[in-house]
Amino acid sequence: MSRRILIVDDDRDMVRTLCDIFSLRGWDTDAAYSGDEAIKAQKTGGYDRVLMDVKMPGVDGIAAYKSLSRLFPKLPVVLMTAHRVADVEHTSARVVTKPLDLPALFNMLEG
Amino acid sequence: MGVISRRSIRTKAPLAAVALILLVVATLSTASIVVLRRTLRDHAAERLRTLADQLGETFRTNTAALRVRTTGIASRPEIAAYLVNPSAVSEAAAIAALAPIGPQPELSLAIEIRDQSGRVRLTSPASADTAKLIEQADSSDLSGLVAAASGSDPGAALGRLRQSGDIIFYPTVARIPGHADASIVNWRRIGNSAQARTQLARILGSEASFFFGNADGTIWSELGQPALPPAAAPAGQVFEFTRPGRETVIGVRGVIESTSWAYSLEFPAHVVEAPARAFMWTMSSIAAGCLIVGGLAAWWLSRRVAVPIETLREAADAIAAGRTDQRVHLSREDQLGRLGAAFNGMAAEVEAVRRHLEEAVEKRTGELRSAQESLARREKLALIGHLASGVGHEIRNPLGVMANAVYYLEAVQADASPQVRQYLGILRQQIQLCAKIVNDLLELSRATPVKRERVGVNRLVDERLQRIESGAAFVADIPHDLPAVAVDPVHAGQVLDNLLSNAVQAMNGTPGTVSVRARATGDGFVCLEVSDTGPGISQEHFSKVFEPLFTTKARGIGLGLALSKSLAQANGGDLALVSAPDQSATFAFILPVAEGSA
Repeated sequence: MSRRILIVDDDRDMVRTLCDIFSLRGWDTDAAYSGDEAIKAQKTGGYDRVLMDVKMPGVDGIAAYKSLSRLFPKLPVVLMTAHRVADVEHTSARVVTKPLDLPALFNMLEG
Repeated sequence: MGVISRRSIRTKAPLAAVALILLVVATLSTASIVVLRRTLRDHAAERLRTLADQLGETFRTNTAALRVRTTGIASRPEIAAYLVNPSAVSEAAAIAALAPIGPQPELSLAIEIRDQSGRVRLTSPASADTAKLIEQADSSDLSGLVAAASGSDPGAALGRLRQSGDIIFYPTVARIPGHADASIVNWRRIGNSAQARTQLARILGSEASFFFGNADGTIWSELGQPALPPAAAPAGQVFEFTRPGRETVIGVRGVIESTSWAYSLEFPAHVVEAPARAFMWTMSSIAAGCLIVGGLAAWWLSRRVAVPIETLREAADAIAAGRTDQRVHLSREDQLGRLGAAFNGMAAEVEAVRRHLEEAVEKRTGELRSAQESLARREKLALIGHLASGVGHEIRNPLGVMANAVYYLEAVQADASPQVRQYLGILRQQIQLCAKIVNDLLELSRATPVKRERVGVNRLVDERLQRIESGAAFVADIPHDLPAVAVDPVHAGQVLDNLLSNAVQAMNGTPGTVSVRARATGDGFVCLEVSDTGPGISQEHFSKVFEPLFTTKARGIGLGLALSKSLAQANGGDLALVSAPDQSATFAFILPVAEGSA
């Protein structure tokens, strides 16, 4: 049974390219386009990993991460940001910057 | 200019001196002349009195002699015989006896025998004119004279003067002894001969005039010629008097004893005062000489004073007008010379102070301009940073999507033609380059608070040199005893990175050397100089290198040096271009020495 990953970003092209790339590497991928959607999807889908953008309209990545880590304390979540890692404060989540260093990201999620 | 010269010492001093001399001479002359005139008049009065006394005495003697002579005639026996027995014989003898005696018989007019009623009984021979003169003469006082003669010692009395035409004459009456009913009347005229004048002039002097007449003011003569009486004045008192048409005289009056006559002795006032006038002329000449000499001396002195003062004033005006290098040259040893020296000292002081002020103003202006430029640069940088940050972050998203897409394509098109794979490679590299530019921009424009700490200059430079990826040669000359500096190591690193990468780029790929030299400036700073061997910065660009958005590079947005200078200043130091235009560039990075490291 392949691992399942939820990819969350309000940029649909970003979500689509990432879904395709992770599919290539054998992941089952699902997409969500906001923090709310991500929380709902995780509640119903129970994914193994979540890759989520920080800056999104409505419930942003930070707030969604806080809800998810409360609901699913053992769920590995990786946050993506166009800003610096240090700018994403008050989280214990792992953070990567855009444009993504994909090999490093694979190591982080598949290791 | 006319107004100024009227008010100048050069004009006023000589005028004042002349006025003063004039005042002194005039006062002295006037006082002297007044005293002199009084003295001269006193002296003249004294002389007049003496002469008048002498004349009075002469008159008294002469009239006394006349009375005696008349008494002598009256005592002749022929006259008594005639009165006792009037007959032709006795009459002839009596007429012969009526002849004048004594000096100047020519002045005798007639000698008469008159009876008690005043009728002429007998008279000496006389011309018709003379007889007529006497006949018409006033005889009203004769009876009084008879009475007066009776009571006097010689037994004769002189009558008042009478005038008829130019002739002035008088009677002398004597009693005939033993004949109370008859008396002798001796008529004589006043002489006016040249001899008399000469005699009088010998006694009185040629300038003196002599008048005499009746004491009651009637019938006055000057040497026998009728004349106006003098001023009424008590005998012996000096008077001043002017007859109509004649000059003013100083005179003295006298009375002739036992007669009703008076006389007046007079000197012309101008003769008396002649020495005073001569003195006045002498004084005037002396005064004129004094005025000329004094005026010239005052003019020369005032010139000696006024010319240097004028020179000083012109110099003071020049200094007031801003020409503080103005000096005066007074080659003299007196107070004015010392004033000139003091003025020059003051002018030098003024010039020094002015120069000092100008320098201070220039320095402060420079500092102000620098601060203003620094502020403007910081504001511009903050704005640019803000913009760059917003745009940079936004660009990262599309770059991310593109990078993902290329990654996917390269993964699924592993079997594609080499050309397709090559093009995908080009896309990937350009996306990476783009991402790097954005990263660099964000890194440059990131404003972080200054966290200064003690850092060794050696460590700072070494760390940065190791990170440079370039084929250029690097030479570092950092003395080991250099004091540590107090800066934010991240900021200092950023500045150094910028300077080093600029230096490498300046050489434009040609072989060259980048030198880093450090030295303590001695006033609390370390100067870190970064030089390259490139062509340097042109004159045209020289003043703009620290302006934000200024760049000469094909790729670059012109923030590096502007940010570096801002960071250097924020850390208490500075950044400056110290090489000349068009010569290999050298930038000086000034860092403050850490406390206790000096």
